[in-house]
Amino acid sequence: MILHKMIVENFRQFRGRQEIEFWAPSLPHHNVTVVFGENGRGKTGLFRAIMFCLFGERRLSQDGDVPREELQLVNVSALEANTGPVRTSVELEFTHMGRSYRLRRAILGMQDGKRIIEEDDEKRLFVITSDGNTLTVPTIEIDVVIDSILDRRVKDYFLFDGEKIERLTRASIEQRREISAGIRNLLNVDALETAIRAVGRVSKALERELSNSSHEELSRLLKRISDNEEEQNQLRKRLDGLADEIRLARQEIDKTDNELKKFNEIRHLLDKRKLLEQELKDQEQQADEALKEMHNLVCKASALIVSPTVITVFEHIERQKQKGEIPSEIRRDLIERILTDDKCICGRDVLKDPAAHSHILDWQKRTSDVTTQDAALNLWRYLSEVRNHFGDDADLVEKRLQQYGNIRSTIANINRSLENVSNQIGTSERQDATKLDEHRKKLQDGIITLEANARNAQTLLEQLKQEEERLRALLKEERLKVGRNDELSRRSILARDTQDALNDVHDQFTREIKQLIGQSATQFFRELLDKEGRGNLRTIVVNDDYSLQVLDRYKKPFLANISAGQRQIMSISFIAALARAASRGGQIEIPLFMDTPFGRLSFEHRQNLINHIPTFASQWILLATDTEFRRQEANLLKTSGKWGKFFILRPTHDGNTTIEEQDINSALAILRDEEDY
Amino acid sequence: MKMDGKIRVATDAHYKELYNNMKSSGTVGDFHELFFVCACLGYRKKKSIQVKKRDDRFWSSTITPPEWACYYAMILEQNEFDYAKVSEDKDMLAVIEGYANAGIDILIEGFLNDYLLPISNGSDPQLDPTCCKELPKQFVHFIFEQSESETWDN
Amino acid sequence: MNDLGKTLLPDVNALIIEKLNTYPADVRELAIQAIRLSEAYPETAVAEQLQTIVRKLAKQQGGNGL
Repeated sequence: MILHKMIVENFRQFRGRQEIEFWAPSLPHHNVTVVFGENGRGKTGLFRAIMFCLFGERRLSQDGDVPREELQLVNVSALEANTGPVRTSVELEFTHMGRSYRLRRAILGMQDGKRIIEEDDEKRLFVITSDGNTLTVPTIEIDVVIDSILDRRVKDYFLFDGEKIERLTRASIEQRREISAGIRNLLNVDALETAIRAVGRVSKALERELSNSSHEELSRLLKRISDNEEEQNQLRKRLDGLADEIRLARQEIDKTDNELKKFNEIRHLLDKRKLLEQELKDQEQQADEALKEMHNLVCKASALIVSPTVITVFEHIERQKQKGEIPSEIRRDLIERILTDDKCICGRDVLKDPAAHSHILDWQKRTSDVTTQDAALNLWRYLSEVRNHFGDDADLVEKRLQQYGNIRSTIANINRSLENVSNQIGTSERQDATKLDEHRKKLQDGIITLEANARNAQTLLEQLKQEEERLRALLKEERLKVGRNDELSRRSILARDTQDALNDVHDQFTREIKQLIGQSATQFFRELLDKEGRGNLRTIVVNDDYSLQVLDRYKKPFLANISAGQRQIMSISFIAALARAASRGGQIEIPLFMDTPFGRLSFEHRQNLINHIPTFASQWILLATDTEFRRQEANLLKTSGKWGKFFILRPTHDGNTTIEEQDINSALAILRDEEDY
Repeated sequence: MKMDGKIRVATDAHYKELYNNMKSSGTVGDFHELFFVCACLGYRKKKSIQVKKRDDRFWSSTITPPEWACYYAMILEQNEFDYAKVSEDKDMLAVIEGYANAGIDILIEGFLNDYLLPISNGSDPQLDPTCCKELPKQFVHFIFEQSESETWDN
Repeated sequence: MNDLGKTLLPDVNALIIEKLNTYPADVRELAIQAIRLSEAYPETAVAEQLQTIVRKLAKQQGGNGL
């Protein structure tokens, strides 16, 4: 899909009829458009307009629980200036698989007291065939045609906003939930999931029936399983609830921060606090990840406890080897045959020669059977490997413990600075600010408690899962004992086995897609990383619990040690992998919108994004602010030969926005250098 | 010395909860790892306690080759390099179970006590989830300390 | 990226049925019926229809002397 043009009319900040052209037929290979504007000018509004036009959607994934009335599409100034209804429309021209399309969607906005009512008005799709004829698609078929071009479930993967990138870098329940939802949408296994639930219902009903039967042990086990399942369900609900509460608390903190920003005299302190908090979050995340990786060191450290034993035994076998006892020069079976036959291989009678006889007996002592020799040699090899690693393992364990200690002391320092800054903010004369600040602190403390609760609930859930597995094994045994020929029991076993089989298949699919997404993300990651990262980091992995991990060149988890910029590149690679998957695996066929993605990236990372994204996406629409899109980036983009269009979103006197096209050469004059900041 | 993967390795039922807790808290990745720590501790302190109430904990197929190698080394050293003592993996693991059983007591006494819920008359030891946040790190630290004191003393 | 394309194709249910080949005949039969019904009906309706199929399959199994 290539977007050509969009016309918006009275859509959000865009009052009246305004046009933006993303692609010029005269420059077909210039697939990058930059839309430049301050925050709040309507950059995301452009993506919103496209999603509204394609799917009639008003809500983006980032909108979360924002109430519908805050997501109104009609331009408020137009509404205030009119007594009657105002038409809000978006018209989109695009090509897909060699065909041209024109899609138009409109709503009518009306003022009803203080409320604004929006009603669907018009939806039309035209297809322009290769011979230039225009066909009108019947209204009821429009959604089917659009869905065949872009599945609505995956639409959100084509917008990379700074917040989403940031969210994915945090190892949290929210992150795992987002990744799991993303992968689930890609899987397209609705029927399979319905089937699993339906068979589950049947299985549960049969188990209930069985538990009323006369087999006491069976009833008891079924009851325990049912209680366990109920407990697990409750915990899952609780975890979902906690994740929601955490998200809401974070939103509330953002709101409070906006309020606090009104107090200009403490603004720099607030900014400083925000930075410190971000740093704290990063460090705490690093500490969590370092903790998560600690268990990999347990066996290494334990082997060190028995290192004297390992060394003694290794040296003993080594000596046996040197003496020729292992492998022995003379085979034991040969010596035993000589002793039984009393005859040497040369034909001499050994019993008659006491010296020779005692020599042979001596040999017999020194030899061992072939199996023992092989096993001893194997053991020698394994011990040699264990022994050779002792030095490295001890260093590694010490280094990791030290690293963790350093992170914790950095956290303590940040906390001290935070307390300091908070005290300074607290002593401000502005009472309102202090109140808001207290509110904010409460929210922050609340989040810490909520996160601790979530961790405990997760641990409990894991324990229940293990217990359920054990109970199910017992149940199967018990059923085989009491009811092989009992039909009700057979039905119950069949339903449960089928549910397990369907779950297995679902797991296989999920595993496969996780692997494929991991591979695809790795490919992007390697292209986008800076030189230092490329030397160290190798693979992105989607873990079983849907958290992300990055492996170093020794295939060891390394996430805890990567920089904030590298983390962002990792997120971008992961979202790009989802977008590629949603495009069925080839080039990313849908325009990629990136909303302020450069925030914490180094120049080298920005350079890589600018050089590579236009090669793997059919179209790149970069929504940027002046702090991240500077003369340096513009120069790079210009040299790449891919930059086709440049727009500035300008504020008007009545608080609206106008879209103004600029020549890309003039961008260099408008934009600023890094030194200007 | 075949590294036979078909043996059920048991611990005392009394420590079942603790084994589960250590795994679910992420302190160890799997049961065989905790078992290995305990076996090493028991062996170094030359303490073995017979498992009273056997409770199958894991399959021997999960034991890694370096762990097997350490187990063989312990038994060989203890029996003056008599290879016959390590010819049957099942018999050998039964001896190791004794060390691991003693080792878990050492672990509790020397370290885990601070992380357990109060133990009333004969109840099974269980981790207190409210104080386990840093347990994975402290655990590695404890093991490392043991290795240092043991290794350098010798 | 052919594999990825394969997993994401709309006829994903055909792939699911292929994966079910390794399971016992009665489990496979019930699973396939469940998926087929789920393509057209909501969960509760599927569960109701499955009750009859489970009964039939369990009877057959009994008849086979299992």
